[in-house]
Amino acid sequence: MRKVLFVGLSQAALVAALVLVAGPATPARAQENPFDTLIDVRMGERVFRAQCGRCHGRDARGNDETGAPDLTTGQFARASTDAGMFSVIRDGIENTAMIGISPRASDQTVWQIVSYINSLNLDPGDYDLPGDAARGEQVYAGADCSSCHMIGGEGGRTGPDLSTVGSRLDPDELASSLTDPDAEVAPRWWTVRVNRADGSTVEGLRMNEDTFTVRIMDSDENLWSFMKSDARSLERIKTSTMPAAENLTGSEVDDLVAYLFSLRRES
Amino acid sequence: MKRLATVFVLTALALPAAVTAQDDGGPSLRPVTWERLLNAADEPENWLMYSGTLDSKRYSGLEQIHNRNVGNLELKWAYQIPEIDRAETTPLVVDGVMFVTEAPSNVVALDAATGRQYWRYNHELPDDLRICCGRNNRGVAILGETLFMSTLDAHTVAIDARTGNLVWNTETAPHASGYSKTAAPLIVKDQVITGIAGGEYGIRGFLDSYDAASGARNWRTYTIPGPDEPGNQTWLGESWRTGGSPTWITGAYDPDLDLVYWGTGNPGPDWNGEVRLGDNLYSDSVLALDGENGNLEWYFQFTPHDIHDWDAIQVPILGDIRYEGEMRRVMMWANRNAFYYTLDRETGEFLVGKPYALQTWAEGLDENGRPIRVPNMEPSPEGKLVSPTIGGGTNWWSPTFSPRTGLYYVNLLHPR
Repeated sequence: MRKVLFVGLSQAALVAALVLVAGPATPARAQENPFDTLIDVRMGERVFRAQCGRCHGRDARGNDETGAPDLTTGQFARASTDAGMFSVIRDGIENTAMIGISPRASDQTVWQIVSYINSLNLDPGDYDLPGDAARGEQVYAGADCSSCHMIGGEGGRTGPDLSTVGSRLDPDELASSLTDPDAEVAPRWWTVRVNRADGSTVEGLRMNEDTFTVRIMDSDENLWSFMKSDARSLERIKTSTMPAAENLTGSEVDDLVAYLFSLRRES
Repeated sequence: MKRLATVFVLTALALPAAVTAQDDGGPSLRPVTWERLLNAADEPENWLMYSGTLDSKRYSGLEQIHNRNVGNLELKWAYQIPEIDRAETTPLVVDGVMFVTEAPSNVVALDAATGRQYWRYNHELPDDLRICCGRNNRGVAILGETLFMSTLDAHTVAIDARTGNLVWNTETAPHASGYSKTAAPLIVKDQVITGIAGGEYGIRGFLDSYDAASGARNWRTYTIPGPDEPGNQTWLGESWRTGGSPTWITGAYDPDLDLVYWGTGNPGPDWNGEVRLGDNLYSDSVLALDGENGNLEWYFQFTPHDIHDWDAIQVPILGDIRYEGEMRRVMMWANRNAFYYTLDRETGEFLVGKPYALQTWAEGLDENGRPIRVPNMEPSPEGKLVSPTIGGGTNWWSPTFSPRTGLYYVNLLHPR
């Protein structure tokens, strides 16, 4: 679960926020978000999970298979301002699966969803990291991470592209994925073993799957596509193919985290 | 009108060999070298660039489907494009993988045998795009293991063909100034040649070359000459600065002559020619550019001082044909202005020009191919009926040439 990232908010501010929530009614289609306190973020998160999460995912990271975009990036294809996000949530996007929220939802609720989505874009200023990004880049090179991962188009294909990983994962999540890669493996990075009718076996990372078919990339980066009905059996291995960073010292892990966290989208 | 945003694949008998390559070791998606692109006609099971081959003949060497069995085609699979919008793409097929671009500026990699997705790349776009004619993308180019795509915010992006990872992302021109991009790039050796759109938004058109590996720009050739260049006097006053002449469809390349051929669009503003008196070079023209540096080798203007939006945005077809008893290297071109042209592609010499669709605006073409205009055909507040329509005798739709029949095929609009 994604943590709400408003650190250091004092009790006093919280009280102030509560007062604000009880303030005057929202002007219709305000340009500034009038509901952007921590409480609003939490309220927005609750509604988001119920209303938006089915397509965008409960963690708002999107879903390639439904076409719902990742909303944790701070950059949106159809909105560059809070007011733009409000319009998209309220009215939907014509000719897409993005429908507007129920007309019964109040403007306050919509603004709270905007606040929640805004809270998902990690601000590096919120963190005081022990590691050093420049040293971390050397650790990255020394540990041969690029044999599996790409950054800026350079590197391997058998791990996630890390070009903007700092926009998606916070430092704790980055550290955890380095030291305990099996803790949380996205289905895209499961291994699928296809036992074919002729007795041979093909194994690779799960690129895409539906009821009847599966597509994988083997360790030589070849693409394969199978009809499940043609396979004798199919196994899913839900552990990560990434080795845990056992050979790295604690400070090297810190440095690597600092480096990875520095990799983010251009704003 | 909304179009049906679905890619249909019809298959008659067995699938082509490359599509079932996984039966004997997996679909490999072999790197698409420049050699492969040069000899793309030798791989009829693949479609390696927008027009099939560098000479843009769009002629398939496959013989499995023909006029005696075409009636037996049946639906094999359908892939539904998630965003309902314009679908004007030419998919590439590379060793069993199909690359389809979608509105607004996305690309999806499909298994060509089943239509199921490997990966998708969604390009992030700003919300202040300036586009005249719908959200649209017409296809990718491939070199090595990298795809190249134009985007509506006037960027050129490179995408890893196996994963959809972004490799580089280069801004071609500021989208807020009216620039956008929709056409598939053309690979020439290690260059990504790519045009620009925005002829309705006061741009100054150009053609660009980018280094395929880095995304750095090699050269830019403006399609409207600057103040110190020949041809600039064909624009009244400062009108050249915003004269349009975009390059929004894919061109062709002759490796023997090392010439890149590219069509240019309408001068702007489209219908009010009074503010840009003159021939308005090089709008509504075909340009022949040096493949190394983009220098202009020759040009031919189909419609001088266009006032009807008749872009010369057609795919140039290059062929060697017998003309008046001798073999000539020619370019074949059915233009939006309703005339068909054959040009010598080494020199730009005008050889043939005849109407192929109803036209009422010219009495004919002179010996140099310049139209002899019928007077008083300008747009006016009262209105003036002219053929072809604004849509043209044809438009950006790809023509084709069959070496077997020696015929050129084109879709046309012919008002009744």
